[in-house]
Amino acid sequence: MQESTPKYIDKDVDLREEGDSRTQQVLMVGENKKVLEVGPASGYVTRALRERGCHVTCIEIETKAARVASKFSNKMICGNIETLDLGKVLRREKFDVILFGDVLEHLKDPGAVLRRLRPHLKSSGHVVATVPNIAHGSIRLLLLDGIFDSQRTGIMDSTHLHFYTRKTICELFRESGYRVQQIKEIKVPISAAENLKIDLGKYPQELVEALESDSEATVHQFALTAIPARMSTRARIVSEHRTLVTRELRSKMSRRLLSDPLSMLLGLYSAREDLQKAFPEVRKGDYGRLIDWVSNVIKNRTDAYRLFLRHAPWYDDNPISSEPQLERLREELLSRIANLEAHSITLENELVSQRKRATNLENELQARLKAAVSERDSLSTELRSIRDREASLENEVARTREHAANLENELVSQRKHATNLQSQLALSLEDGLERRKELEAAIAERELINTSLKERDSRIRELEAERHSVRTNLIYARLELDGIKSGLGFKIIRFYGGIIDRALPDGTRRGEFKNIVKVSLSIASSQGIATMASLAFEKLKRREFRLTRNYARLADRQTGSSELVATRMEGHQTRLTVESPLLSSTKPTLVSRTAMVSGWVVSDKPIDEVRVYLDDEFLGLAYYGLPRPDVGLAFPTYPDALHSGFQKLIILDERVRGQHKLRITVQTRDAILCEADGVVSFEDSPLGEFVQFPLHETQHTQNLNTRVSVIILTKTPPSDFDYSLERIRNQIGVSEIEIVIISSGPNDLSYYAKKYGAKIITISPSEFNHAATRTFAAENATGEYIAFLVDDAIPAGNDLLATMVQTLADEDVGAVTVRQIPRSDSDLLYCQSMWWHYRMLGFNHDRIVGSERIDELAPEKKRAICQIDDVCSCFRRQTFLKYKYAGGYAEDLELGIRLARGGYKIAQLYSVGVIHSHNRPPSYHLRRSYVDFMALSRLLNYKVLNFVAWSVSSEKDLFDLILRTYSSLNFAVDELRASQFHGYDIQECFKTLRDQLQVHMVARKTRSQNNDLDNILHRIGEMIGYDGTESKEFSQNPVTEGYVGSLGVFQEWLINTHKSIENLEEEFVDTLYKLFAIQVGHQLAQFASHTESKHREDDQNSLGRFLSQGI
Amino acid sequence: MRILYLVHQFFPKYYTGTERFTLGLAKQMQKMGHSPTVLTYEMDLDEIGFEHLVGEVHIKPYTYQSVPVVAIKRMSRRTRYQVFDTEIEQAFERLGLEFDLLHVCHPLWLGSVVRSCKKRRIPSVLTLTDAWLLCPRETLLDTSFRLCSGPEAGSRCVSNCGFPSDIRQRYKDAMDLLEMVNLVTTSSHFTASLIKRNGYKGDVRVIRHSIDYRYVSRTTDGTQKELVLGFIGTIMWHKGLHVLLRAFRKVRAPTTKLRIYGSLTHDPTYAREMLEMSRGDSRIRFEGSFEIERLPEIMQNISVLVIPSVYYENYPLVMLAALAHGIPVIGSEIGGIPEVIKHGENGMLFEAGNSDELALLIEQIAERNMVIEKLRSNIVPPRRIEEEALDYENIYMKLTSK
Repeated sequence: MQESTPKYIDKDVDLREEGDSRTQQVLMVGENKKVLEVGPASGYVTRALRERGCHVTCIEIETKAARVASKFSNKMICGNIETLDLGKVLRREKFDVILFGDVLEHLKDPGAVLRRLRPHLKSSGHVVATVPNIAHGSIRLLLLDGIFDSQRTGIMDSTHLHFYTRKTICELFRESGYRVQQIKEIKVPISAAENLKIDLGKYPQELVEALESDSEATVHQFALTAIPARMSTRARIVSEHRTLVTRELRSKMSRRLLSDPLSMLLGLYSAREDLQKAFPEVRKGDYGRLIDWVSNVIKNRTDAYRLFLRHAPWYDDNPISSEPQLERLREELLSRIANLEAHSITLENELVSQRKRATNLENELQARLKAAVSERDSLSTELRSIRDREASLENEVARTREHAANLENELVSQRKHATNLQSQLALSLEDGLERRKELEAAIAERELINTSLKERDSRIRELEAERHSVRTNLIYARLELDGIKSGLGFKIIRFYGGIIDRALPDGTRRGEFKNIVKVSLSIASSQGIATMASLAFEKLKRREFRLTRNYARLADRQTGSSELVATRMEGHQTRLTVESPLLSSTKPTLVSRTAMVSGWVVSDKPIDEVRVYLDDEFLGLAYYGLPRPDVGLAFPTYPDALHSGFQKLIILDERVRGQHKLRITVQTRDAILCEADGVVSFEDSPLGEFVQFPLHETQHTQNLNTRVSVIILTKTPPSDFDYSLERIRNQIGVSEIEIVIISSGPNDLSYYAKKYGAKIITISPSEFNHAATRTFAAENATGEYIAFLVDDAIPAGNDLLATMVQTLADEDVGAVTVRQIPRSDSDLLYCQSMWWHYRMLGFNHDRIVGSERIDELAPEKKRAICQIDDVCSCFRRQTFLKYKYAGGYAEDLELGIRLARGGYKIAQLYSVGVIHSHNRPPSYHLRRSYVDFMALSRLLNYKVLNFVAWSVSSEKDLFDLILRTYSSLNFAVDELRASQFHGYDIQECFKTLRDQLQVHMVARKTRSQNNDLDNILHRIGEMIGYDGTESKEFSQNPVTEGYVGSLGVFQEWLINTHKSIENLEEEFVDTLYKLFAIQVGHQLAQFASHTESKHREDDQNSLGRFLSQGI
Repeated sequence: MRILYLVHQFFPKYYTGTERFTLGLAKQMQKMGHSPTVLTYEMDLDEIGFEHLVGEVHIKPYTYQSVPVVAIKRMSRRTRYQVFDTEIEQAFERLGLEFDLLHVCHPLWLGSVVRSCKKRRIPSVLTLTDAWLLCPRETLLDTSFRLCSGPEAGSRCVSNCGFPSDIRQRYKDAMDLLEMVNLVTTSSHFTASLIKRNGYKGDVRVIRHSIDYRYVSRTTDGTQKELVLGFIGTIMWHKGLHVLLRAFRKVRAPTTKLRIYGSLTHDPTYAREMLEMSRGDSRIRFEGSFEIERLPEIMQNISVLVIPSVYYENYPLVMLAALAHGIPVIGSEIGGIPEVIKHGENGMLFEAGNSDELALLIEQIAERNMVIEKLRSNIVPPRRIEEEALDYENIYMKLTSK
């Protein structure tokens, strides 16, 4: 098969010309055969074959040639035999003969082609092939001349990829599974070889003769037939070996057997060694069998030889003269054979095991095959999906193309528009050119002005530089001073700190002592520094700043602190100075985690960058171009000298301490102008300029030389009782504080006695009475003053006691009471009721109040004046014991009234206070409000509602009204929740509440989400025998009215303090229920006092007792 | 009383000490019957939900934990150290907020509001929570991380930190701002003397910061078997975590642990260095940032809090929180810390930045369990937010009644 320009032999095949390879091809194919011809070229052989009755299928790579040859062939396949899918083009067709006429040498892998075509060869069929012989004498001679040039045609055809000799062509077929049957030689004399033009005369006569005597040297082409090998590859190899060995042995033995048996044996051995060398890939077992065979042959031959000897005594040259010698030789041989046999058995065993392994491997292979098949299946499904996607993508492409076409149309129209615009532009351009001329004239004028301005500028710069230099010098002086200051002061402080540390053991308040020393030292050193500073200032004043001396001074500074590096290269001069840190200095530089590298550099070549290296590691570029008027003055001839400073902050990480190599290079873009390096030594200084501020001594107010007893009543101490006691203990301004704890609970309070030195008085719970217990405690206290505190009140500030006691210095003042500050976690209700309470009392500033006609005042006014809050109040013990607490609940107000009557004033302090609030459930508020009202109405003669006017005749009537309000409230809350609290708008929420409360509900909803309130209402209903059946008509509902009133207060407070109820929704609802509970308690109490006048005291129903429990 | 609290940044996005102080005060004022509003600034130009007010200024009103807040944003980058800003002043006046008193908790970004209030004769209080008014870098640390005692009218900012010379005007502006307010307060005597030393002639009242005990629960009985050191704070250089790590690596106490709470995102480079420093030491654990509600739990997990700051700390709230939880504090002897921590009483002090000394202290407590117990028993719990609020309320009342 030709791959380049066809070089066909355009001559018909003449079967009489036996020297023509094509004749041989035709003859070797035979007549009436089914032939596959590979590479028929123009089809000359094809034609001859057809004439001899053959059916010819051709495969040709060249289209042109295929077209010519197709005239002669039965079937023409145009394509490359090496890449064609033979299964597709030949299907299962089988041929008698496959013909490769001068084709194999052109193929890349002829072996593969032969193997692939084998299935298409009938079992009785054969292959015919012709190939050129590379061992032709002409090639050999040319090689002697060192020529191995390719030619257009012939053996050295430029398209040949393989070159064959007899041996290699046979090997090709054998390795491809064929057996060569017949080889015919097509001879061409050496000198006549095609166009090689061999001049035999130029070679030595002997050489030419030797060549010509070699029969292979005149073989120009081999024409061969081969049949498919039927044995397995390995068996075939073995058999071929056998043939070869036989041949070899035969030739060797036939020559030597006649001479002497010893040589024969030697021949045998050498043959064996030769074999092993020649076929290293052959298995040892095979050798065993081979040697078997060989030894048989030998045995036969030896016998034959012996016979020969016996019958030919005339053979003189026989070296084995005697029978025994021969016998010995035979014995020796036999033993060797036995050895060989044993060896062969072991080899055979090995073969068996190897076969087993092969079977295993085969099984494994099959398993893998199965896996591969399943994988193939999955891949094919994937392929299907990919194809689907491809289709959809194609659709999209079509759409996109359409869109592109539209865009193109638009583009065309836009272009037209652009052309129009361009013509317009051309017109305006002309206009513009004229104006430019005018402008140019103006610019020229401006430049003139600019030059004069520049002159002025440079003058100003000079002046400024001068000013800068003076100022810089001042800064340097100050820095120097700072250095002295921090160096000296610090050393001393550290030195003494160390001594103190060593001298004073732990726990000796070493820290304070150290501080005192530090402060006095810093004062001492700062005084010293002040003297030094004034000296320095004097010196500075005397110094004259002569501009001409600037350079000299710069150099002076350099000698101490840095070095000047000056380089001259290619006529340029560069000066570099590193000012910090000190290069080549033994004195360490104090740094923190970072250090500042700074200096200046001037050069008459433009400087592009200043690089900083530490320990040869490039750290980065320094910031170059910082103002340096001093350098500018010293080196006025250098450009940029005024801005020649550079700085680089380097981070030292862990390598702070110790010596490092610092290198600074100054460069243009491609060359180093100048370089400075040296060893720097750093020392870790975590602090820069540390200023020790004198510790503040707390200014104690002068201690009142008195003892204050703080009386605290508790049942179960709250969780932060410790905190409260701590704060009491730490009160300042009074010389002695006695803590008296009265406990009515079961807890052991000895812990507090131990920790705070408190006096603990325990009483039984039944003995407890708000008034009597407090009085009892006061009697047991020893202080000049007594302060009452509840157990969950925390003094705000540490001067509460002192302030109260100081207030009592006024003899007219009988009691001091302070304000309650809600805790940070207190609920809305507590905050709003304290606010309302203080507003009612007009209590929003410190005041001392009293009245001579206390009983003539209105209840509210009376309450405002007499208000004492026993959450925190203070008395002179003497005064207190004179009046004492009396009665039961609201004992504080009662005492206030009596004190007022006694002419005492009461100090109510708003600027000091205690932190106090409760977060209690609605039921508590209900009870509390009941009890509060009962007590206050008695003390202050509150007017009660005229329930008759409301047509409320019994508790059941009142309770019915309560439930009606409750039901409305529940509906209102539902509506609020449904509306999501009207976007947290306070006004809107209250509007909804009021609207809903005014509606008389037919449907009852007396259960809310507030279980506590539900429960207590249920209990009250039970106690008064309310069964929900009687429902009479009321014109108005006093409960609703009262509740709406308290809602008004709540609304006012909420608007005052909050802008919305966002994040407060649930707390808001809680507060609504608590307010309602208060209203219920209030109403029940009102009704109770209303009926009290009609009934006797002890008739006061069980409800009253129930509601007073636990308050 | 209607009180306007001014703070440079606020919850929910920002939550450092100053914001917590502002929120705590505002909420307590609500409890005490006053009406607070917080005016704050949003520096993140990409923050959404703002509506246009005037010029470049946008605003966003919202409620945080029942406290009404108005955030202002100016749609251009500004330098952090600028004291007054006319556009903000105009926008504030356009905003038309009505209030009786201004309390400046931090004047960054919104300093001009003070000027506007001065014009309108609305009384004002300014609480110094850091050194921003003195130092344009805010920390009084110069560019090479060395302490600076003050700006010396701005000349030091030029010489030490490379600020342009117009920084002197900033110093003048800052002093003007201080003159404009009716009262300057701060929580430490240190900051009070610092501001006086740097040229402020007026009175500075020290009102100690406090703790909201809602976030305190002292459930530990103090009998922990192992010693756990805690670091709570932003992981930035000036907070000195490197000093602590350096010291801790020197301490060879295998059972002593170190837990570090704080966001690693404020200064990622520094944070990476810190992680690098602690690599391979299984005793050290980085716990990340945390919500304030988790504070009691965190305090329960540590036995000593270390505050290794290397800058002038004013009055760290975390120090108070630790003491409130009964945790002793080992702190740098710097700024306001020694005003609260007494060496050998309720904690220990060491020279700021001196990791050797800190290592010695840690070794001391690691060896003797008794030391911690002793310190713990001496702790006086810090005061409560209600007390601080009372102090400020008294001031407000005095100022408004004039």
